[in-house]
Amino acid sequence: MSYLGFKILYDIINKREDALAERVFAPAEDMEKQMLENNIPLFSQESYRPLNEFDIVGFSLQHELCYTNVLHMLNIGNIQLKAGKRSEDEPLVIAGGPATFNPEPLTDFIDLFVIGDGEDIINEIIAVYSSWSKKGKKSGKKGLLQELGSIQGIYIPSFYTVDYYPDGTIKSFSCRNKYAKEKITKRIVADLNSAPFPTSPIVPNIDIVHNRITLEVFRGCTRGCRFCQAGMIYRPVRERSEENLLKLAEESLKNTGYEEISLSSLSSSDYSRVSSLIKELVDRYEEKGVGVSLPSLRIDSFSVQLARETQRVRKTGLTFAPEVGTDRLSNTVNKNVTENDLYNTVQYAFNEGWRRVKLYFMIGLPTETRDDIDGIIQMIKRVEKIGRKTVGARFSLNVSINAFVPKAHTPFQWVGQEKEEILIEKFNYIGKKIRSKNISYSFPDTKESLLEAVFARGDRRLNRVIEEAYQAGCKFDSWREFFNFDKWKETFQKNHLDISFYANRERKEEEIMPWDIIDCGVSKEYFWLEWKKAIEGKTTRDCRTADCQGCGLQKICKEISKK
Amino acid sequence: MSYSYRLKYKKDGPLKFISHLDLNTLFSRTVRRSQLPVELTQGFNPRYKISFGPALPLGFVGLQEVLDINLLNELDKIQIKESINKFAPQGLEILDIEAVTENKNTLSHILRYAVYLIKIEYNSNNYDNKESELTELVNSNIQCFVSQESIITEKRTKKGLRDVDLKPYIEGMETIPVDEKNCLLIKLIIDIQYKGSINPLIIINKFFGMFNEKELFSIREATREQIMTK
Repeated sequence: MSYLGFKILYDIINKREDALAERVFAPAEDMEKQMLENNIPLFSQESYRPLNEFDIVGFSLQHELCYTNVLHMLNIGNIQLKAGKRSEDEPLVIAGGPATFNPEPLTDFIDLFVIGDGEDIINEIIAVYSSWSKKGKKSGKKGLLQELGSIQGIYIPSFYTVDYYPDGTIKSFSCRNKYAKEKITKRIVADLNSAPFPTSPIVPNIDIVHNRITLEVFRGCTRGCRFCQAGMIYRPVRERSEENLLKLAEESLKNTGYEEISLSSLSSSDYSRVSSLIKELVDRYEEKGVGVSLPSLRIDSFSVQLARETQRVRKTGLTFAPEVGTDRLSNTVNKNVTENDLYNTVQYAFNEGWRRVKLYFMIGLPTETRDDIDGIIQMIKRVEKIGRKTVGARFSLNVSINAFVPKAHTPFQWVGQEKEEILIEKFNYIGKKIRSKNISYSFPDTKESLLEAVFARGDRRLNRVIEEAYQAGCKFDSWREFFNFDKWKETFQKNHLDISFYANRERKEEEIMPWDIIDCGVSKEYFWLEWKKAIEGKTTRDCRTADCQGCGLQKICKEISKK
Repeated sequence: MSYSYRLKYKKDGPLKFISHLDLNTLFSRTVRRSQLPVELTQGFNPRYKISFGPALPLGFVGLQEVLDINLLNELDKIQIKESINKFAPQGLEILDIEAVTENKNTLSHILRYAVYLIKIEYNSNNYDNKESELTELVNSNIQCFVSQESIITEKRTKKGLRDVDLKPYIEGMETIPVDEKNCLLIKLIIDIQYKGSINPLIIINKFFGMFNEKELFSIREATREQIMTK
């Protein structure tokens, strides 16, 4: 319900005369039980139509731990799990979203993956489907897939075979169909201003997360944090004009009646007209009690000033993500924020009247030493000290620390995830040192992070693991009350696959990665270069304020700037 | 200046599954879509000045619910009603509207009784009596039930299970025959000024529990017919 991409596609499809889109979600356990007992298959929210009566079923893959849910939804929707076994009259099953940048763990179940921005390609898919359908579906699903396969950004996994070396690494990735492409180049919507935007999204009757207007101010990010997959796969940066955003905000408010507009992007303080946009929105809608919010802030006083402007209507806490505890490691991950930046920024925020701050960190990053862990502790304590001095007893600090998960299409894609027992030891160490009545903190389940690391860079052999784990009862793996790591472990063992081979192993430069077939725009050579620079502690500048860094998107950037 | 209006509305259909808290948000958004000039509350998070009558339990249909809304301008009543209805989701409808002139006539001040209709069904395979006899049986049980000095039951509160006396809440309880096989209505009038509102199902469950009849009945529909003033 909350994901913007979902709303965009829903809107585009439903504006067409010849197509309709309805929403289907995985039911919670109590509902599922009732459906099972009453023999009700998974159905859509709009017309209660069973899932298997749709022509196309599309999944949005937001993160790796939802994979069993994909199988679960197909299963209770009475759709054959394996794409290869599905009959001609079962739906075409497709998937998009950020996790498809390594689609390999789901290749058995998904007919085709859509890589990149969905605004244009969704129409192309529907056009091909409906002409195929009008011709009486004569060429069968095989014919349909061959036709769809020629569209840029579509990956049809059944067109390829993968061979492995005895050590489990990939030997070759070969085409077995003459329609197969050498590389799948992601789709990019060049001009967001002319791209469709849903100003009349569904307003839910009950509460959901991010229950507000999501105004996407720009797409992509070139700050170049080396751990961040979103910062790589959504490039290049494309802004919406201020004029367009004000128009979209006006329409959205009129249609929805929402009381909050969230300025969404990977780093909204980087929007070129951000001050003016916020001021204008607050001026226009303050009287109506409509607030403006920024999801997370860059660490500088400029961002706090922006937040202060939004507080004229609604008061909220501030969230900063220093990610690491020392300037050295900050350079390595290319976060380019110093310890002093953080202290100055929180001091400024406390002076401005805030008394609640949230900080995000990550541990287990490459080259991390005990000093960096101590650095995080020091940072937290220093912020607490500043807070208590400036704010007093009502000061509160919320700390969230996650375990680093190496992701595909990042400079850290070759790195092994830190061993779980070391992560646990580090979390315990930090937890003990930062205990205080002003501080609340949350740590992840390291087993979840481990499984996420497996799927994030996993290969095709994981398909059967996912299927068997699901058959053994695994689903909702990112919900702690459902997550059952022992079952996963058992399934890996049964299939003679090693969890640490995927998660903790350091990969070689020349190794064929499972996702090499996907071209995200940024080149593998650039990632390797960035990885080398990381080890040397050298930073890379943002191409918005410095020269082009040659990440691989030069040609597309030129085309966009020409327009 | 602010102008207060009292709205009577219906909450039924799909909206009977929406909680009171969610209704609050939903109503504010409906009104914001209608572009009516609603007064804002002061404070940290300004909200529309809308105050609702007693919460309707989840799953209940409300036939004549009430709320007060404060506008910045004096507007034609019909116009207010129509502009909200135009933007209301299915299941919400403004039925009637009047201007509130006296400040002291707040909802919590003047609302006194809530009238509920609970439709129950006998699980007939357990009972082979005639319907009229069943009605009689329930009636005499009601007489027994309400003539007790106190009716103590356990109620789940924020602080855990607590004993509460249901008796002072019950202003009236009777059966109404209904033209449906094995069904009958229980009309329950609850005093909502005694200690705030109470979910009528607590009373109904206690009632059937007392006569070991919980298994024999199921609740088919629940409606709040109206909320009465003093």
